[in-house]
Amino acid sequence: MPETPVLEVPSDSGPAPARPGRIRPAWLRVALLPLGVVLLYVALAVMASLTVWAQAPVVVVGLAACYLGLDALLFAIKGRKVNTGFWLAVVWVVGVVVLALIADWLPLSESRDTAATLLETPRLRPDLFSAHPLGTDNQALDILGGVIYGARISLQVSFLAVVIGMVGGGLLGVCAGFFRGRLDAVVGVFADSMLAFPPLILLLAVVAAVDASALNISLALALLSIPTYTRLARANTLTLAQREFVLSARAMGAKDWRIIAFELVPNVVRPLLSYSFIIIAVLIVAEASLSFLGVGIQRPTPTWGNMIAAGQDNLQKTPHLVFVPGAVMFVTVFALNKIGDRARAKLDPRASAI
Amino acid sequence: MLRLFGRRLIRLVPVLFLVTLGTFFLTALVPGDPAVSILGPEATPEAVANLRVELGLDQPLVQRYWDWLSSAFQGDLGNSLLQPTDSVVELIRASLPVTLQLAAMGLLMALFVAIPLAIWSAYRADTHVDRASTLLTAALISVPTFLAALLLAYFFVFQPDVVRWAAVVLGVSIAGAMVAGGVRRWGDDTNRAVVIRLGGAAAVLAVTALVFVWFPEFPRTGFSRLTSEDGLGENLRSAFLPAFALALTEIAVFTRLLRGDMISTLQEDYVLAARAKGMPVWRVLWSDALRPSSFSLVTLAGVSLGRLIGGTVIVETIFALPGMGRLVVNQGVVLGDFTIVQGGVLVIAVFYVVINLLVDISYLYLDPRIRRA
Amino acid sequence: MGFAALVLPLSMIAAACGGDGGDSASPATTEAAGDGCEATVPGTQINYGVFAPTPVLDPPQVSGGLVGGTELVNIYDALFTFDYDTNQFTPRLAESIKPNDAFTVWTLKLREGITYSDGTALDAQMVSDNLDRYLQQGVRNTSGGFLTTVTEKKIVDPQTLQITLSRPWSEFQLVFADEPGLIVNTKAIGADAQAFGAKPPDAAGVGPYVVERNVPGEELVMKARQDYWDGPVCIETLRFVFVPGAQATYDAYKAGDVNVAFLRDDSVIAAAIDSGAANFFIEQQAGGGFAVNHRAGRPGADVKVREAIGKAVDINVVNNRAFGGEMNVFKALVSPDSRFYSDAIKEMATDIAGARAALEEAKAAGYDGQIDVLCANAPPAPETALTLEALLEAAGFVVNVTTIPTADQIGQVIKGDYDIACWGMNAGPETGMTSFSRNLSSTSPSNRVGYANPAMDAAIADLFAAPDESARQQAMAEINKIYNEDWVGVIYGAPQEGIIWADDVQGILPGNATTFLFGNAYIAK
Repeated sequence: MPETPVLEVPSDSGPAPARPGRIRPAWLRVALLPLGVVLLYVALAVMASLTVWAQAPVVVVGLAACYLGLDALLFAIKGRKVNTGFWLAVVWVVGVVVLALIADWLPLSESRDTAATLLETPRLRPDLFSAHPLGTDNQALDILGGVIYGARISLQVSFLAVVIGMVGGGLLGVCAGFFRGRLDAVVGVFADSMLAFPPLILLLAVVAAVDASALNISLALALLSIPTYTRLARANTLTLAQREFVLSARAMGAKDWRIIAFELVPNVVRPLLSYSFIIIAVLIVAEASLSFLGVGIQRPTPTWGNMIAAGQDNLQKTPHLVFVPGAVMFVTVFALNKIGDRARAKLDPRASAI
Repeated sequence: MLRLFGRRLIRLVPVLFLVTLGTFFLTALVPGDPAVSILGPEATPEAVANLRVELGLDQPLVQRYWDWLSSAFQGDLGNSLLQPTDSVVELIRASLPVTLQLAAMGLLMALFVAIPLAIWSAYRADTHVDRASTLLTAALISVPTFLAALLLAYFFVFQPDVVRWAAVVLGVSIAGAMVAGGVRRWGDDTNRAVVIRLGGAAAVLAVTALVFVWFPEFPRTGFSRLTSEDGLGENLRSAFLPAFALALTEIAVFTRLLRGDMISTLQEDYVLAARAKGMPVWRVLWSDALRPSSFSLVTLAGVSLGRLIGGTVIVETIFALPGMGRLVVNQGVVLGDFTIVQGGVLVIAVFYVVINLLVDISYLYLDPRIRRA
Repeated sequence: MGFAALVLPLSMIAAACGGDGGDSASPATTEAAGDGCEATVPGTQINYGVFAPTPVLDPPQVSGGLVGGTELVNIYDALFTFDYDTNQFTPRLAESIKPNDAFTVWTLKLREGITYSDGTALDAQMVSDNLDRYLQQGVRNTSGGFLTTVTEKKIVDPQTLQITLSRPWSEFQLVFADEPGLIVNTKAIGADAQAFGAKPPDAAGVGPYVVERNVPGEELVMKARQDYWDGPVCIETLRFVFVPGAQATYDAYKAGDVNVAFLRDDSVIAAAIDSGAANFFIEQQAGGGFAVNHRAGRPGADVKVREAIGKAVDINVVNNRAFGGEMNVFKALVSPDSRFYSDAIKEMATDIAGARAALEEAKAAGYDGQIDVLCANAPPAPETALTLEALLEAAGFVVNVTTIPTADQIGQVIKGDYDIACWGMNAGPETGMTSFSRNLSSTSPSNRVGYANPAMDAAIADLFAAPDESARQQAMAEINKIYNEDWVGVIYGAPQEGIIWADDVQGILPGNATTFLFGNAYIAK
């Protein structure tokens, strides 16, 4: 009986087949790359005094040009079509993770301690080659540093939540799928009731009950992700449990726990891992939503959500307060979704959504 | 099949039971004494103690849960604790229609955009149109709802000219893409197809022109109820932006799902046969390709509706709408009025579970493979 | 443009903000009756964005002023109102009030012939009964604090009430411009006080509007009263909504969702005035400040801690970060624009090194340096809280910031459950004396800081008894001096508060404590 999935994002159709060369010569397309770089420089450095609304379209066009140029460059180098988007996504995510890890050693301006910025100017515009490349916020905290430290919190919280969810939910699901019967029914009921709980309200209630530290938020988010992993693991286990290697293990007299530990879990882990990228993306958004509503981690500790919340009143005058963390969050989530799609296509044998 | 239906129905009960249990114990964890909040600053300790007894707060947790559950069965969800005290059922009755309307409107908007987009993408798989729509849906999924709502509010309310011109650009490019596609396939299509294509492009342009000329003014905050004297027009105006913000993610999800499904359906033999027989493209798309995908769409729509009902908190906060999300979160969770939280979460969970049940039933009904079983 | 019938003390504001809008102030017109219309114009509506909502509409149960003041005055009308041009209390439902030479016996004379819609007369007995309601247990409104000085009330005749005070008060009529002057028809209250507070019946007041619908969290809708004593009420519907945050309220105004917006945030106000909106703003002296809890067990109980806090706050940093540099900042109880200001008023010292030294002394006595900041979560309060955190941490404190909904924060401060809170005194030209007394007098029930100093009480008594303006200024200077010496709290400035309104709305009458009466307002064609 097909289960109705919840956190479902249908997959991409995969990388497109190689296309024949277009009308324009290849070198012209590759030239789009330096053109894009020039446009970006113009937008961010030369147009620094103009309003962000004027800079934004130029930035977008510049980025598009860079992407197309890079695509053509890689095509020329490799001789076949490369999934540029995917690799850019990987580079971005890796970059964010690395930056978040080494944040303490980067030459960033003060972004967390309001007492240290008492003499700085608040609400500075982004100025690429100054001490505050992405500007400052209302408390004169550096936004670039805020975005990187915010990434640290987002990644920490969602990663921990996913690990807990995967281990807890996965084990639960495997056991439910393997043993069936009453255990399956009980686990199913628990999973269903957690899914029936409106997720944001559950998060808010949990965070209101205990105080809003990164650990507590991770635990609350893990609680949210467990039912999804349970269902995934269970569905995969059901299919796997009929396979020959499991049957032969049973025939050889292996104990239940051995079958679970050595036959099922290693095979269930792969589809679970493939979903995890997407679930991390979802949890990042959930944590940001919490911060945005003012219930998550409080300022001045920067998170993407509370940075956006602090800037929301002044979109007219200082749009960069919202757009910079918003753009970073968007690109990160986008990249994670892209990687997750590819991972699911490769690792999950039941790639269809329903 | 009745057996399956019955099994599903029976499972509803323990699920709801667990939800209420979970809510109850969760709210019991929230710090603060409601009696103190009610009585205010000049409260004497005896008055506080008396009020606690009156509210039943001195009873053991299990007893309180049982009392609440038994009155809930009789339709009484208790009274809100803080001023002004109101029956929770009344409060929910006032807020629920707002949330339901947002969820329904969001869903309908999403379907309205997603279905044609998905059909077009699937039909023209791997062309520019398809790549553009794939990029768009991937981007829409990645934008968090609160950011989308903020940006929508900012642009639609305070920079309507930007939106109008953007709509013109969008409309012209869609019409242009349709015409360009026709030009490219000049030899292939029949005359009738050409007429339909040009007609479609003209329709798109007409709608764009209408939007440009009659762009309504949207309120930044507030909700005009259907029953108010301003009627349907005001109601739709105040609900449009929040519903649209909700719809954006759903558009992406539906489009991707439907497109994937339809691509595989379009490769089936019977579709090829229909085309070989000379059936016009749009007929094929509509009756042979869309229908098999429809029940996965129904399933997803149902799940989506259930999810939306519980997920309107953010748009309700940003647009100051008096819906369930704001009731449970702002009045309930943040202010510690836990009877509201219990009642509100129960109602939302009931909706979610019932909708899922209906979806499952419809799935059983629509999928002939299971119906036969 | 739209200013014609409205009071505009632009001279005051221009002085404060360095000149904006060169329109000359028009004289106050309380006699706008009949100007706007012959009868209620159907279909006209005011949508008023309030500062904070009040679910309850019974005056003793409402904080008043910023919270619920305008709603109440339009339901009940007031005995007196305040004219910001002349700095005088002017009578409305009352005819006159006369003190004796010692300012201890006040004779109130009521207007004749005012009755409620159920026939009950608004007479001296009704006024007296209303005053008693503020002395009951558990009332939220703090006017009761002043009414404890009333030793005797004598009903001389149905229109005349004679009040004897236990100590002199030269501007006692403020009480009748405030909530106690909103005379509720006690006969209309009935058995269920709560239902009355949620929706007072038509016979409850004599104001220009009656409550039609009160949905807390959504809207409060009032309809024009047909037999209003001060002439036909032109605007049919008066609707109050709450949009949290000044910027959001201003956005709602720009979007047309509200046509009158109450704003209390200097950077938003500056933008609104710049855009040319018709406006009325007054400066609330001591309105921007931080209250420090003196009660035992709190960090603020130690004067060295308070000194450290006082010296650490740099008002220019606060102005820059939380108010975009737009607020009129001055580190004393009254700023140079106030009627109570004189050269004898000195600002509190700002000295970060001194702050650190004071904190070290406190730590030597056993203080651990931890302090909790409690502010509202609607802008600009969160930024103010963060700025305070920055300044205190620079002085060596370990700070924990909590931001909660506005109504909640008010409730918690009222309960005395805070270390240091974003909390000002709101001392307008008319409410100044009572504000300072409410907040600083040791016997005041609304003294939320737990501060008690007989020297301060004496100075406040002098302020009340002062027979003229220069005597008041002298008393004020003394109060400020003691405030600074005791490091009672920190005042950083005088925020503006008031309304902007759509151009076609005219005839709004500003009253006591930044409330606004719409009885004679009308929508111009």
